[in-house]
Amino acid sequence: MSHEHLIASLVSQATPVRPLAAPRVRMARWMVCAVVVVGLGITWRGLRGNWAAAFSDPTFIVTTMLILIVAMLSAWVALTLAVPGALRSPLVKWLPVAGLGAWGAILMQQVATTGSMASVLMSEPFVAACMWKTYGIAVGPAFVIILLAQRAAPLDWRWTASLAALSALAFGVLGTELICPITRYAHVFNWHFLPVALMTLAAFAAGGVVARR
Amino acid sequence: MRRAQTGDEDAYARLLALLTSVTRQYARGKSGAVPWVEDVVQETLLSLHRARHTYDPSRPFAPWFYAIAAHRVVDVYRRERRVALREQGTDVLPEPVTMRRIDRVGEVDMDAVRAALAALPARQRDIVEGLKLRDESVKELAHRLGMSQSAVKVTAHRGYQALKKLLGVKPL
Repeated sequence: MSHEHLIASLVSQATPVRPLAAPRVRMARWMVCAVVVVGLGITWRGLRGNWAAAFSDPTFIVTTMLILIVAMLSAWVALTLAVPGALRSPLVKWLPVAGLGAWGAILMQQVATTGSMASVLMSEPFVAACMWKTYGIAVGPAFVIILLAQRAAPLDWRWTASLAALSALAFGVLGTELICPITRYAHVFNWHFLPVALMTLAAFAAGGVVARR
Repeated sequence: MRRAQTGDEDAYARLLALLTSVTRQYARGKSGAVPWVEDVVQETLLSLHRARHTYDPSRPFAPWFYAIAAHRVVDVYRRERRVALREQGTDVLPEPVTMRRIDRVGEVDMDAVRAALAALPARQRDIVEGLKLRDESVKELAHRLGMSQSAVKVTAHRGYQALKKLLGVKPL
């Protein structure tokens, strides 16, 4: 097809379009949805019995705030990244990853204080229920944020998909942190942190497949 | 672009025509005089069209447009590289299969073919001859013989199998 024919064809389809809302507006809408889902999850499974003790633990407060920041930051970056040229610096997309890394580092440091890190992590009982809680809470917000990103025009599907997934997973794990009464850091690392990190990597790979299609 | 978003066709046509040369220059600047520059131009125009609702009129146009163009340059480059890795250039075209088959007609023992055809059951022979010698279509044969089109195809297939067996043709 010649350029002239292509232009004529595109012009013939040039119906009026409503410009997309700003990423912060779309993020705010999504946050409302995510907070409602987390609230429903906590209501359904019940707030952890030892919540008073948890909220007096500085490490718990710091990691919970960090997860919330990662959730909001990754949602904002994912939705901004979905609009061509809107993200001023490509380095910004590493910030949520740095936040996730910081959470993992804090947990590892806490695990290391209880003994040899490898043996503590390996001897931690198998409690996959926490992983399923996280995924269960995250699936709705993940679906919504991917739809929101897709409604824009993502050029970099790897980063958009992985950060969208990370934002939903961070909200999911925030819910799990408020439900799960287990205070061992090895448990939190194995069954709260790792499922989020691994699923984010899986979303990065899936985004690569979408980009190639 | 602002006017194009409201459905102004003239403004949109002028914008796309202008962006055609801008994209061509940009792609040449990024990748040199490669043969796929025109592909980048078309892919960029298509992407721009699909993403036109994401342009924020309160912001400058250039960063939005060049973000699209830059990604399309990379996409087309990767695609061309993949193709180049898997395909092999050659100066001599392979001989088409149909040509070889036609050449082989001379090698076929036509008396044996006629004898094999005569040995087929009447209906099978009629269908094979109709399809291969009289240029009748499956539909015409089905209508003439009062059969369904699938039944004609099945009978023809059985006829071909029987012919192969009678002629001693080994499977390819």
